[in-house]
Amino acid sequence: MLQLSNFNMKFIYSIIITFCLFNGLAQAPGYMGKRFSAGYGFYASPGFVGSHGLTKVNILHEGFIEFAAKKNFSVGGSIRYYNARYSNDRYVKISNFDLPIDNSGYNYQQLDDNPSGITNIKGLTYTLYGKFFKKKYLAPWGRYFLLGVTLNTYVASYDSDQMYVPFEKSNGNYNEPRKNFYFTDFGPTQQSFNKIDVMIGNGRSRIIGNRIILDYGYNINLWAATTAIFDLNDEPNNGFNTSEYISGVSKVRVRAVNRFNVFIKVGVLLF
Amino acid sequence: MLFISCISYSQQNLKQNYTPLKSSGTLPDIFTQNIRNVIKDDITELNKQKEEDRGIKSNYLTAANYEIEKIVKSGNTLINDEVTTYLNELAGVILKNNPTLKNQLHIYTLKSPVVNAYSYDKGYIFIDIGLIAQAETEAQLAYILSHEISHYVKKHNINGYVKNTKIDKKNYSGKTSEDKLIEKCQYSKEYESEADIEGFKLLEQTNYDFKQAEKAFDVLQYAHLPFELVEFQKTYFNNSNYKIPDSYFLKEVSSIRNNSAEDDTKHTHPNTAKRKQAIAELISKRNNSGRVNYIIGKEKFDYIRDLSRMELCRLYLKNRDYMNAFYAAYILEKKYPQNEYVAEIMSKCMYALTLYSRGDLRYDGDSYLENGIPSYSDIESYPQQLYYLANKMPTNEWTILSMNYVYRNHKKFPNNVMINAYSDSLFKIMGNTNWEIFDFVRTNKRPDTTIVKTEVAVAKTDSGISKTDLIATIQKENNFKSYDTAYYKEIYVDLFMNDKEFTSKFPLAGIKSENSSSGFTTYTTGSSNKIYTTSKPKKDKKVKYQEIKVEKVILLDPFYLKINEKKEEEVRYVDSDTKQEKFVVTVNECAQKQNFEIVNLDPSLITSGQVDKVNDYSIMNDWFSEKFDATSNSKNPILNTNDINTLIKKYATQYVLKTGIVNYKSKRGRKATYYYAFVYDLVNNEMVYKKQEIFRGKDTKDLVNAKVYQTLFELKRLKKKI
Repeated sequence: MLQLSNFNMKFIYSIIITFCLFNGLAQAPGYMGKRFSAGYGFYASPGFVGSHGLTKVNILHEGFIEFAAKKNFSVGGSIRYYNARYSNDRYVKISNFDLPIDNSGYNYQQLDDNPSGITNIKGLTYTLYGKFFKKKYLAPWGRYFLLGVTLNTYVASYDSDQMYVPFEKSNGNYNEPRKNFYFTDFGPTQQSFNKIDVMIGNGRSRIIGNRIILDYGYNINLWAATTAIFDLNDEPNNGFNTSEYISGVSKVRVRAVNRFNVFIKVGVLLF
Repeated sequence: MLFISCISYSQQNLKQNYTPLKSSGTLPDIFTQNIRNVIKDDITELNKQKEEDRGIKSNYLTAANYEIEKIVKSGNTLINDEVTTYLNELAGVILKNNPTLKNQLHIYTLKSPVVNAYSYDKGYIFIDIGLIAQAETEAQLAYILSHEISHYVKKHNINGYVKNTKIDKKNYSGKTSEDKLIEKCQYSKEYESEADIEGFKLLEQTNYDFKQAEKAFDVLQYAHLPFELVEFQKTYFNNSNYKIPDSYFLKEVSSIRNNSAEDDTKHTHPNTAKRKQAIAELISKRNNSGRVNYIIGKEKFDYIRDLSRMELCRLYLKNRDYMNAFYAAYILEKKYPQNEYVAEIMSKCMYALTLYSRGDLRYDGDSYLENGIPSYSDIESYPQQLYYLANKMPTNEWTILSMNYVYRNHKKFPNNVMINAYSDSLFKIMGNTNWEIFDFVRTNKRPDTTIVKTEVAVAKTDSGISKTDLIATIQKENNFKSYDTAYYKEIYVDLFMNDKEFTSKFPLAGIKSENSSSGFTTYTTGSSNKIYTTSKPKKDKKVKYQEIKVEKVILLDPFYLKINEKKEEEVRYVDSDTKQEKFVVTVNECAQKQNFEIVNLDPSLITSGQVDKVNDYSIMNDWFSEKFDATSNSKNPILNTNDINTLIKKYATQYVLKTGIVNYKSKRGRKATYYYAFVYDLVNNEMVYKKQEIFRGKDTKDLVNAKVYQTLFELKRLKKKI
């Protein structure tokens, strides 16, 4: 994913509104004259490829709004929410500079390669997308190809009481007891990130009772998909630096959540 | 039936004109009853009787009910008209001793030129107009009707279906499908022979002449010939200034072939010889004295038959069978020389053949005329002359002949709008050639060819003459030769001299006609110097669009069909009917949402008092019958439906929507749904909207709704290329 700093969300919303207004002038039949729809979407993806999640399935919840702008095209915006926990199973590289200076002659010995505990990631994915319906179908009904841009905003947090790397300190004297030390400083306990990606997909929407939309299909985030092969072995040679551990690990996991999803959406044709 | 018998008609005066047959009165129950309930009741009744083969019979009842409904509501079935009433009267004579059976019958006339009759379950009997036109006597018609009644009484239709189904299901290892056909035909022939005998027994209960039963088979045998054998006069088109050369006629027409004893192994009916023999044996054992050809009356029979013959001309035209239409009208003209309708039919035929021979009328693979005017060699007897003439006469000469014929008919019936239109259109054809008044007025004296020949001879022997000079001389000679064959030069002389209208309408040299005011094919302007050719329009590279905005359409017979190959009864009649009902509702709902006006012209929605809608439906079907036979994108003039303008005015729209859905499930379980919608502009004779799409999957409600809504949405914003 590309880093998106200082991204102005107002800009995204203004694009959506302008697009809707512009296309509102175009003539589109919609479904029985109805062109606006809104609803809920349920996304899921397998939680075992490059994610190291504690669950087998990643689950996302979405709220969406769509507008049939043209005969074979509808534009939509959505917000997807997910909350995932991941085990800290990546190697962390803790240098002497990261450790407190001990003048008593004790030396640090790292007992574990990776931190204990979990990292919690809460994400919101803002998506602006277009649905390109196949020739004989009509937005918002039928088979379509999906193309959009996504903005992944997420907060990765950890509990310093739970997330640590145990050390043992000894001064070389076997008669002296060893001391335990726990390294817990992986940067701020809550870290926010924004990433953008390009989303494609395929789907099909059905209309039930002239009112309810049932939409199902799959989507792929292209950048996330492209990096999939690298994410399988995402550790730097000597592990992550302590300050980059959360950002480095979480971005891989966020990509894993968004890489490929199947979805089913239920919506209502509004007007 | 009681009501029908009470209807009295004022007879048409065929000496002057003929009004095409139309349905009238109250429509029968089949129009108002729910077909699904009827089938349900029939199957319940079948199950109560605990007959054999109930499964097959149940399928039959479903199919037969739909088939009957389809025929009755097709627009081709005449209801309570003069001919149908007469046939019912005739049935009354045959069954005067069996009123119960008479009341079970539903006899209708079918507007078809075919010479046939059909008997279905539940007493439905359909007699083709073509058959009535061919019948020679009332007794013959009575015997044919008796034959069909016997089919019903003996339940041949349902039993035949059961037997055919069993044959299809039989394990025919090592045998071909031809073996199946032969076995089926064998059963069919047995039923036909039984109906012949039983029909004869019914005839016995009347006072009709038995010999006419035997003669009825001759009528069927020679049904391919015109209804009367009238010689085609070689002088028919001639006048004092015009004589068609003898070379355009055969010296002798072919004889009529007798194939009454043909091999009938693969025929559903025994050959005529066998049938005649069986009846002759019965007659020989009966006393035929005192029996008559007419009970209702000769005058009535002749009148009904003439009505049928008049109608037959129209039906031939509808099928673009211009030669048969012309010949039928030619025969009728002998009896009714002042009949305007007959003149109109003949004018239409001449006009249509002109367009056809010039390539301005084109038909596709379903048409009678796909491969051109039928060869004269296949035609028997007198009509062969007409076929020969049409085949041999060059297009340009036929055009001259046609214009002469149609214009003179126009003068005979100046108030006939159609003849006038054809005449005007022919003038426009002339206007797009290099013919001019001068060519027809001047009496060209034949040049002295001996001089020319001498010149040529000299030229050829003179070694000093140039090549180009020699060519010019030869061309000159050839030009003189063409004068020799110009037998038609003086065809219009009397008209030019005495008819101001003709002179004013006849195009001046070099002035090409613009759009036709008659609504027929437009002949475009051109500057070709080639003799006797029409020029093609220049192509305009810029495509312009014109907004049409269709806001009201006549919804013509929406169609819904479900087929499931996995089922024994592949055509799902009941499901189709249910879906069709819903489809009509959907179309109307979608129209309502868009303030789109729909006029339903759908037989399934017609109530018992709406006989006018049945007639309108029939007119509309006739129009489409010809339209659909044309090659795609062609604007062939629709020649055979005069009343279409009345319908346009009546329903206040010139647009007709034909739409439907076919849902198909294959043996492998694959599903597909085909949706179509076509909109035709009746005034401009063109298709203005076309949508055909195939979807994989079921015919779900959202699919139907979306497509119908889209169709109407697009119609309101329609643009066409100009």
